[in-house]
Amino acid sequence: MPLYTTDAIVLKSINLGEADKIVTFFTRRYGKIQGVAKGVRRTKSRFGASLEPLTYINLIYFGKEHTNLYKINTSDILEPFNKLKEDFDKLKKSLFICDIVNSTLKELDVNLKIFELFLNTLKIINRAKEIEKVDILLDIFSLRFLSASGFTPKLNNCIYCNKILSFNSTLHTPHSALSERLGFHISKGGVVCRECLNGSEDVVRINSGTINFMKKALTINISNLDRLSMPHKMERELHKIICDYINVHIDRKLKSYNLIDL
Amino acid sequence: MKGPESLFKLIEELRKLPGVGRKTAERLAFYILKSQRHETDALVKAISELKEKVRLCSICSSITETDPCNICSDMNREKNTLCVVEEPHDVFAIEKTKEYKGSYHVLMGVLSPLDGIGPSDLKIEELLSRVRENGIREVILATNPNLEGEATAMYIAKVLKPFGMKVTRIARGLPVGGDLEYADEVTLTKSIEGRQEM
Ligand SMILES: [Zn+2]
Ligand SMILES: [Zn+2]
Repeated sequence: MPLYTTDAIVLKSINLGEADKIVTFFTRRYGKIQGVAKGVRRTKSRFGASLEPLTYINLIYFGKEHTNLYKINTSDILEPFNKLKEDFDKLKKSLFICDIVNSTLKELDVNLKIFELFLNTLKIINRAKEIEKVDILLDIFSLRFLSASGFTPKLNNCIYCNKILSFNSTLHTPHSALSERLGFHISKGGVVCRECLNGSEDVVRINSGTINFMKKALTINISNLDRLSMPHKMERELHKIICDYINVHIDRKLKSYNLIDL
Repeated sequence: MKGPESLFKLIEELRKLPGVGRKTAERLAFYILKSQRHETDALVKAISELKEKVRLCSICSSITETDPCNICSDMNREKNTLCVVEEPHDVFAIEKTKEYKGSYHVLMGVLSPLDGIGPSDLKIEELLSRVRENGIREVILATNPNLEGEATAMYIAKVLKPFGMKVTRIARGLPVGGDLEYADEVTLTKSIEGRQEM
């Protein structure tokens, strides 16, 4: 029976029988897998806290190839993310992104970009001092997540007439006519120019400043995601667009969605 | 496999019990088959009585045959201290210590965002009305020391904050009889954080 070694993030764990757990992992090398951990709920279990959700670990497991339930051999904590788990606000937001990852990834789907994005976002939430910054981080995460899943929004050209939308962010003023008359097509995932706006359905208004922010959010190094910020009013616009956009691409309604406002 | 169908049926039912595999289920089934009639009748009676008589206490949601339960109706138990637990069996675990003299509140579950289980699925509204009406002085949060238990404890602490009473969390740390060197770093961190002066 092959033995697998990889680093992984624990996504979910559910109780099995008296003392065992079925644990879902997002592994760097083999994608999403499930495994049984024997005796993990006993107080003297060698697994300790390493199989708690939102823990970054080094994992060794074994099992037949293409099984849907492996056996967990060893797990060692690389980063427990304690700060994130001890703060209710941070925790529920982390669980929200965990839900996005868990409900979107299919078993054995290897996606290094998403793995790194997920890991880095948890690191940022863990170390965040101002919880307000985490709100926008969730939107940036969602945007990057969709992009890494193959749904990068088209932000440079109008999706209808292909006209290049050249607005310079430094020259941009929020009151200009240009900034008020651009659209974002939710299901097609792209910007719509002023001329093509009339009569097109499924399009919401978007500021050129928000488009610029999205461009930055899509290209910035993922370890610096918390360096981006924007005015509060634009933040709401972005949030609305990202929520609609992610709902189009995640067929299941996220269960954790209702808990974000607790 | 050939044999009497009623025997297989019993084996199948026994296998559903926690910790019972196929081998054990077979052994139990054959044992029951060989037992005296009055013994098996007593077993059947005990199971059906359990389902008929045991219900949830209308005050604390612990399991009981009388309503309110023995603990809620005991005048010697402190009524202004509430220990909040996830499940009725947690009440039994704490009662075994014989140390706790207050009352209980069973949540009947735990917050589980990934399964869509929120506060309205738990007995949290009931907890708040007990707090509002009964002059509670201390709430001890004794949910399990795992992610969901911690999330639930943090949430309850948050909603109890406006009432201004003492809210405590049971200590987390090393299991008695365990070895320090085998403890994981999270458990060790918690036990250093929760250290006490001697
Ligand atoms: Zn156009
Ligand atoms: Zn009671």
